[in-house]
Amino acid sequence: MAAPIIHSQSVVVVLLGSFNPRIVEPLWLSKHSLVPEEEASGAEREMIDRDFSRIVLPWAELVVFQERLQIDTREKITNAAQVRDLLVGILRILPHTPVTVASINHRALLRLDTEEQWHEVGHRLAPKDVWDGVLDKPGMLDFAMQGVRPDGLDGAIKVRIRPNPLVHPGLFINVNDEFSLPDQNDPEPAARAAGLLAKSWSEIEARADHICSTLLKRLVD
Amino acid sequence: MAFAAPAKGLRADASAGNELVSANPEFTRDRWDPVPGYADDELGVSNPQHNLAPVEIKEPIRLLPTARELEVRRKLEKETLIALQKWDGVVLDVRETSFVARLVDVSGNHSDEEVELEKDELSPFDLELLEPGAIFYWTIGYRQLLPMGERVRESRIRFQRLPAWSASEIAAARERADAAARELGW
Amino acid sequence: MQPLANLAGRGARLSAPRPDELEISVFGPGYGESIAVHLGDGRWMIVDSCIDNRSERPAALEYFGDIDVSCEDQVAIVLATHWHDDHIRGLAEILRACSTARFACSHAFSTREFLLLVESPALGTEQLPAGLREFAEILAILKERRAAGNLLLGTPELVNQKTVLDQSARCEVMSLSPSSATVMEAVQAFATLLPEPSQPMKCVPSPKANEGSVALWVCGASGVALLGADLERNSKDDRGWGAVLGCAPLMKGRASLVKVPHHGSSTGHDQRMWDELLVSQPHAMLTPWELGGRHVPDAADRDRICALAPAAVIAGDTVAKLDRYQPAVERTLREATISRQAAIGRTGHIRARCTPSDKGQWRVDLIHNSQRLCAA
Repeated sequence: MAAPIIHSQSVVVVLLGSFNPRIVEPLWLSKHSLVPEEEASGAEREMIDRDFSRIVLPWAELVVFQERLQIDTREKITNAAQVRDLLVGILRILPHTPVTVASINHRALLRLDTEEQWHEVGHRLAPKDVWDGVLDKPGMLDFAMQGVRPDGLDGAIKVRIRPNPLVHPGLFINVNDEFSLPDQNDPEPAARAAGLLAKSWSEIEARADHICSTLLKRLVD
Repeated sequence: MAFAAPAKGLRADASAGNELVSANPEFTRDRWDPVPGYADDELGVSNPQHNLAPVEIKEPIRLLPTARELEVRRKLEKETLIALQKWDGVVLDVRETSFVARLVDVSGNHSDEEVELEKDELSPFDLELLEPGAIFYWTIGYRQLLPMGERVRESRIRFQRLPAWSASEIAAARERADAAARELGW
Repeated sequence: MQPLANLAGRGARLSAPRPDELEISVFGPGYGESIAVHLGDGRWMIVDSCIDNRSERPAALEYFGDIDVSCEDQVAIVLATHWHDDHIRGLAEILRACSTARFACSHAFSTREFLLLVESPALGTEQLPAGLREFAEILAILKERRAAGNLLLGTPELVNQKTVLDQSARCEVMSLSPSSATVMEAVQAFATLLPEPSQPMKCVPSPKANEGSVALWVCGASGVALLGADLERNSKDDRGWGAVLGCAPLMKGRASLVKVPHHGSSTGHDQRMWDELLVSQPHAMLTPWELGGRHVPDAADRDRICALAPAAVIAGDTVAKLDRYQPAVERTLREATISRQAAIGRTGHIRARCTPSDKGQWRVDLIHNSQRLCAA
């Protein structure tokens, strides 16, 4: 049987802390050399009071709430280094911004070769014999696992797998790499977060790739 | 059956793009579902063994999206890029109409290469960044209209953009350099 | 002149030199170029680092493994003469393995300007080759040594012109560069690369010239060798080869072996070096280099070197096989690139040895992937 095909991929990064949605707007991004002027002037911008701001760039969507900042590539690019640069750039420009948690999600939607393969994945993740006599035709809706971080930071690595009707037979996988930023008394927490993200980004990406490819090999082979 | 079929009563209304309101407030729908729109998406399961609450990817709930918002959503969700190969590149030399760069395979599965590329391969807004030492990302892949539409091979080079050094960052680097010199007895 | 032995292939049995045997082993190109010098009595010096394209380890360490030389005990000096990417990748690994070796580097690297370059890496460059990152790791190793109470091994030896790096009954190693004027020039060059407020962060580019280049005079009872590093000709006589010739009275005799400077390029050629520091028709060793289709030594370089040293040999080549990608990627690469080559060539190794009884006649062996430069 053929290997699963990647239908689409995206990266979503969420930072928790304290942000000002009004500051982060397209011209501010280009003024600080984070995006080209041409992209900034063509960007969609939406703002709701002081609570919410959304900027839509050709390659990502940046959403800022007061308590979080979120960048989502929305399947538009596959080189997440641009997301890293934008995030690290914003944090460096606002070094005193409180940032407490970083959550990096690598997501993929995969098409499996056959429906049999798809069923086999469900059976391996969630054996059905436990449900005999409990549910009629039990089927796995959603599956999540968590593992400890290898780097000693407070947080976890979580993996979520679900069927997805957008493609059939399809699987959605999300690898979530989440950690709290150390030393909450740092006077420049965002600057420190920027350094940590820049340093660990490639490792996080490689870990997500490894998790996905290993799981698929074990589930599908 | 290994996987559950979508529950009855799930409204799949692609044209309106309305938020799905369910009797169960815990129920969430991911944007990967056929109905375009945004939804809360729980990630992981809370674990009493660590203090970190799961972080959700979320949007504000609205009953009716604006027309502009619908247009933006449709545009964003119509196509995808599948990467076949990704490199990080650093410019080594700039010539009249071309430049030479070192390519480093992001996956680490291939050896480094040195290539000469025409400046024409670059987006106009990246030309101003072309100089020795500049970093760029080169992705080769397919752009595909979702869900089963036209597929086009694509090569995309994008230069890294980082903000300028701040005075405090440089001051911190100077302190580290001074400390290193003191340590070494220089 | 002794015929060249060709011990091509790692299958050939290699052995360590005799205690009274002077050896100069040149490795390249790989990533960079490296030299291992046997100082006598089992003591060694390693100059720069070259990553072997097959093992992906420093070529000198691979060689020491082949000849049962203990890195921990037998390497006396590790010398860095470059700071940019390709020539010192793996040097930190060498220094860590050679735990009793002193670290020496060009005096140009002891300046605040250079240290500031090392301490201010651009975010987002972590995956890219960076000599400055290698240097940062080297400084960390030295700091560890100092913390462990070993001040001698934890303090770099700074090399200027006429620094005696090593002296024993068998052999003396003296540096011929950098001159004071070159160090000043280097400091000014580093200063132009320093981060400035409101200037964007970027990867520090590889310099066009190597201000830290350390040419060495290796003088033993067995023979004399001139290791030309990347030293270039300069219009001013207080730098480049002009400055070296000012040291000539300190150098005993003339060298019968030369590591040709700057990959045999025309900018590395100073006729006075050949006329005043070398015997007629010395043994010559070099490694090639290529960037974006520009290759050294080119045909004119080869003709010039062969006229001066008909027995010249060259280690390694820059033509390595390219990796194959998926068909769609290969098609795109063919369409998008003007030229394409492997960044790391096939590493070669040339070894030259000389004992007192050889009376200055070196035995040059083509150990691996190396060949004569000149037609027979």
